[in-house]
Amino acid sequence: MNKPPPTNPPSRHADLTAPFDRLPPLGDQEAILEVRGIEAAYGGRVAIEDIYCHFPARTVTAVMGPSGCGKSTLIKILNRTLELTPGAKVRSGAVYFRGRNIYDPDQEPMTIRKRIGIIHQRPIVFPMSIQENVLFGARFHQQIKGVSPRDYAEFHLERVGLLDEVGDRLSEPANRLSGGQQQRLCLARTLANEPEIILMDEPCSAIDPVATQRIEDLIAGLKREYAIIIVTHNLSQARRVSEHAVFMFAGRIIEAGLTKRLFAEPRTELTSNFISGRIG
Amino acid sequence: MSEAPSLPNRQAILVDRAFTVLAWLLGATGIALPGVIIGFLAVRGLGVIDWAFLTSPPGGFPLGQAGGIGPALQGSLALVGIGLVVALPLAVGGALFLTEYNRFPALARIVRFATECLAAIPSIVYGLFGYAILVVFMSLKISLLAGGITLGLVMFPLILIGAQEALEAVSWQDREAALSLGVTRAYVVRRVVLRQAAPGILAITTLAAGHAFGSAAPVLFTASVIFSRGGLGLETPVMTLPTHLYFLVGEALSFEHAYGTALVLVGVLLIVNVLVVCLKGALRR
Repeated sequence: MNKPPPTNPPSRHADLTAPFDRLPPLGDQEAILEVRGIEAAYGGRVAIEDIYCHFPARTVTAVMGPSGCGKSTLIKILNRTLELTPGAKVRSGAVYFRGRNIYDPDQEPMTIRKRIGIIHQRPIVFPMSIQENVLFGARFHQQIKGVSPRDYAEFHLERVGLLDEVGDRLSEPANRLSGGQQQRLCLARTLANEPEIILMDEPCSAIDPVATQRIEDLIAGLKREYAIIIVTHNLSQARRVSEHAVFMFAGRIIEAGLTKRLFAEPRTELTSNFISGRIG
Repeated sequence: MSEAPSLPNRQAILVDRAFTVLAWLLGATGIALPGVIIGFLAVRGLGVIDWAFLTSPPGGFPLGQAGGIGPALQGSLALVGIGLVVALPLAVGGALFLTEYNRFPALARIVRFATECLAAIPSIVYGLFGYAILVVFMSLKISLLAGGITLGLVMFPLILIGAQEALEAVSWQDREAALSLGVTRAYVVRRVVLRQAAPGILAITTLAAGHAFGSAAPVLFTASVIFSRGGLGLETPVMTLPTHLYFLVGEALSFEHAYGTALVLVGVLLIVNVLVVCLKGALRR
């Protein structure tokens, strides 16, 4: 449970030594990411506060909640991409990735972003060929070793099921692909970076139901290798794809735990109202 | 009792029709105006244009009544080339700083205001400035280099404003998506932002170069001479098309040659613009 007990009111400036029992139970799974007492603001306005949660390895965790509850803010904090938004700032707290706080001054944000990839809401392809889109980050990180760039790109396109569809036109501009194909290309581009965690910020909100189905199938396959954290406001999607779920409301985590349990026996009235569709 | 369906508002329909007619008229004027000017120049000037006119120096007595415009064409192209070498990196670099690296919105606003003021300065003032600073103070003499730098100053604010707008038109999400892959800002600027903005930067550069190519005032005191046999050197003066045209008309030497010169001036601009439209299409693809 993430809601602090009444005797321990949430502090605005969360304390880094907060007890572990404020985090939802993990069972026997290893936590790959752990968020402790994060508070973030846009300009002067606090967007999320008092966030404690953790994310297990090789598992899909859904972050749910109504629009504007801070889901996207939370996910962008997990790989230091929130600070790319002008005016946005993590004010306090820590995010431990494999035991090290990614907000430590000696941590290089670019390395974090390479190791924890993110897929955005709207598929964004760059003004270059399909192949060069896949290789965009990989070339920078000198990831392509011992294979030709084409083979490297084909391998990652195959992983997202795009190779059959575009294999014969890798040198064509990527913006000729459909929205769903573009989103899978973005996923291939992130995979080509060889990340350890994949964050997805409502990856299906701008694509059609068939393309959504393909993304969900890919998530099911990729979770064998990666921790996947997916933001969604679509309850049925959260139910379909995730084993763990975090429910946020008004910038705070209200409840977190196994998805099945959260939907079957919500522990707060807010969660119950959300999953029954009364709010959101 | 149900009301009869109301008639469409007759006045609104009349206003709409009048507006449509007006829009067509203004549009047609916009198309016709350059057509009429180019057509007029073609009718008057096409007769003198041949290969010899385009390549040989002016001749006859008084000078300009015969011969061609070879050195002037050469000089104008060289001046604009040098101007672009000066203006393009400065202006695009400035625009990149303002859009990609500057963290102070107030600074961007001040620079933008100053640049707009620069763009509004009459070109004769640039000519005077170039003469005082480059020709006299820096001892560059009346030369291709002094004129080229002066034309660079004329083009600089136009390209900076246009490049800044082209860079700002690249969506913030594109930058975010690229930076999210853990790459540097310089890599994103080079591979994503500049590529997206390239057609816009190219368009404004062409416009600025065209403006500079046709301007007599900035080169009048900094680079141009009445006669040259051709051949280019950074420290030597050159003939230019606009100043040659000015002398031909001003001294009433030969109106036929003046129309021919004007037609070449406009023709070069037209050809460059068409090439740029093709290049922009290729870049967008």
